[in-house]
Amino acid sequence: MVLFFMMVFWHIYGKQNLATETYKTTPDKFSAQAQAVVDKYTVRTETEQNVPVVAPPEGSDVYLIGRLWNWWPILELEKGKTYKLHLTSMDYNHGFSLQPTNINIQVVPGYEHVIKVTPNESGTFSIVCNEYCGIGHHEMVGRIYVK
Amino acid sequence: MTVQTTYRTCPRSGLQFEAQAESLMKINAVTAVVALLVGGLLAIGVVLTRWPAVHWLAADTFYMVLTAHGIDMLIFWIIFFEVAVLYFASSTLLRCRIATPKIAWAAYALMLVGAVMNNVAVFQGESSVMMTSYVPMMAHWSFYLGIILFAVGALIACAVFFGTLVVAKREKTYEGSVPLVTFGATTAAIIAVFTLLSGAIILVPTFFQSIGLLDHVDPLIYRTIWWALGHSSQQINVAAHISIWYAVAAIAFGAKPMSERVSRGAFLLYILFLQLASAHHLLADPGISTEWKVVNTSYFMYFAVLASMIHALSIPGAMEVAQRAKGYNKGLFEWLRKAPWGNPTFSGVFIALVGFGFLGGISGVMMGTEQLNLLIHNTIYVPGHFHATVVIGTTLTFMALTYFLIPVLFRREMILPGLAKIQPYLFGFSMYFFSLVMMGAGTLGVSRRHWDMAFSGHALAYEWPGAAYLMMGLVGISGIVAIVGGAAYVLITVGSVFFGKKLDAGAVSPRFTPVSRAAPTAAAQTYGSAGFVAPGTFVLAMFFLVSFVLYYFVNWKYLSQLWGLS
Repeated sequence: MVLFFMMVFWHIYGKQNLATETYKTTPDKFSAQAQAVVDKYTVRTETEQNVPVVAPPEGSDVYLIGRLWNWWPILELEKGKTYKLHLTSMDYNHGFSLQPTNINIQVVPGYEHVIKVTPNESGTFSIVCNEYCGIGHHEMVGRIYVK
Repeated sequence: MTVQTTYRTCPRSGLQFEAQAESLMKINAVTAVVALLVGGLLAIGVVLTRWPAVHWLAADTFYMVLTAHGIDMLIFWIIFFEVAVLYFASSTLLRCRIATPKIAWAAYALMLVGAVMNNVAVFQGESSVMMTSYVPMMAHWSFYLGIILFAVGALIACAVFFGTLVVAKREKTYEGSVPLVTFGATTAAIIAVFTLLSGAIILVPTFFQSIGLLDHVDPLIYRTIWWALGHSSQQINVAAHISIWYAVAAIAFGAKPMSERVSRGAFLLYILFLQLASAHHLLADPGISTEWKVVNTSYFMYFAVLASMIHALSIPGAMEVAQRAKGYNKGLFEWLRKAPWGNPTFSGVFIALVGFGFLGGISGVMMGTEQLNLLIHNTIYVPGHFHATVVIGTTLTFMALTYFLIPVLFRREMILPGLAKIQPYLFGFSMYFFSLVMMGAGTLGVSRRHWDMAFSGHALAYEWPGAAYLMMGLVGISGIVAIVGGAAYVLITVGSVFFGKKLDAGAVSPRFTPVSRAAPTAAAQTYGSAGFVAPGTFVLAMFFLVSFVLYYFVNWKYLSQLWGLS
């Protein structure tokens, strides 16, 4: 019987619930939105591919693109602050798997999923793709820094 | 109407096999074992690649092999065997000729063509899309066509099963209600029809997209409907292997279900609610409301879980009651100690039952909880769960049943009886361990369907904790042991069918004998309950519930430590 109440209880009082705010989107539209944020808040670039590291202000909309085969851009967030994370895929299904905290979310092309995230610890986090997306699947890994 | 056929009464079991049905059962079961063999060989590649220290296959081969392993095992091995079980539960248990044997052969042919076509498509290398084949990732068109043909064949086989029930009813081959085992098989067949139709609804448009007739299949709708196929097809297994558990309890102990009505009610709950459990694959998806997720996966799924718990209580309970009636009354567990542990049919079923409940059941409820799903979605926890349900639950049960069928259906003496005695333990316990370490690695976040957990050479590489590597190493080792156990099964069954000593076929008659209540297998063929005194089973059930609740709350605790999400 406990099982019956636990999910509803957590939905109302718990701090970890997956938001269901979702919009239809297209790759063009979403990349334009992501590019705008990247242009505005990039603080540096990393790796040989010059992946931008984006440090958005608290409460703002942050866009993360999953595509064959990377997560773009790198995010730099602050501990204890809340951000609106927009997720989508440009092509196939991908899996957003934040490690080592272990948060796993399905990323489906054509759908923009908006999740409010509040990091509760600082450090370097990786986003592993955990939905099989073709031959480069195992090379698809991104990063989030939390200060 | 008289139909030209003969009925053979097996001198060892008292079961009566109609000639047409007998060959159909044989061919479907043999094909299933071939699929298992192929899938087992592929498993070597999967396991040795995911074992980080070995990391055997190249990435493209690995993804191809993993695709084929999943499909051959989850679909072809299991459904071919289930068709044999359906024919057994209708024609043999009801002592009735099989309806439309020609159509049943056509169904078999379609399934075979589909299975071969699908495998060829995968091995050509252009269809490494995994069993789930999520759009918009496209496979070769023959990949989809193969599955569709197979599904149509399987649907026809279900229709033959229903037809046979009608024939039995009309020709009055049994009295009263159909026996529980047949009832359970009917449940499986009804779920199968639902499942295969869902598969057709989504795979047919996908097939059209693959040949260019259609330009877009919505990825989210695909996922939603595909899982009505993907998960529900596993519920066919559940219904089928639980029916077999009842059958084996009846055959090994002469046990009757503790309450016939409750058991039947539990099967009914499966039909009504199990499919909805497929919603749990979508818990981490966008665009689906919390209410829908919670209602489908909790309330409705718990009805199905409730049904499973009823069976899990009822079957060992029935065995306990039957054993106690034979005088094994000392203490709580003498009935269990004195069970025929050397008989692979019994030990296989019991190991399957316990593993399915503890490992598969508990992990399944945990995964099916909306928020907890965030922890393990798409990690290797998921294959850990379904290796516990499908491999320990279904595959091991089918193996156990085969040991019963070799002398009875194939009329051969089993070769290597010593090996057969230990095979369920070897395979079962290595799979227990395999599932557990997979779940362990999954709890640490290790992804499923992933070729290189080291991300070698990647600038942003993530380094998994050492424990994750240890777990994956153990996955490798226990996986290999399980494959050896599986190979032993194939060796014993194939060896027996070809080289075992021929056994007496028994009397053949042109007419069926109506099911009589005196046959040694009467308990599997008649209606009736045995009462409700099974304290040992009750203690086991309490132990199960306590471990369940503990594990459940440990996971909530773990969840509460994550980043805030809303």
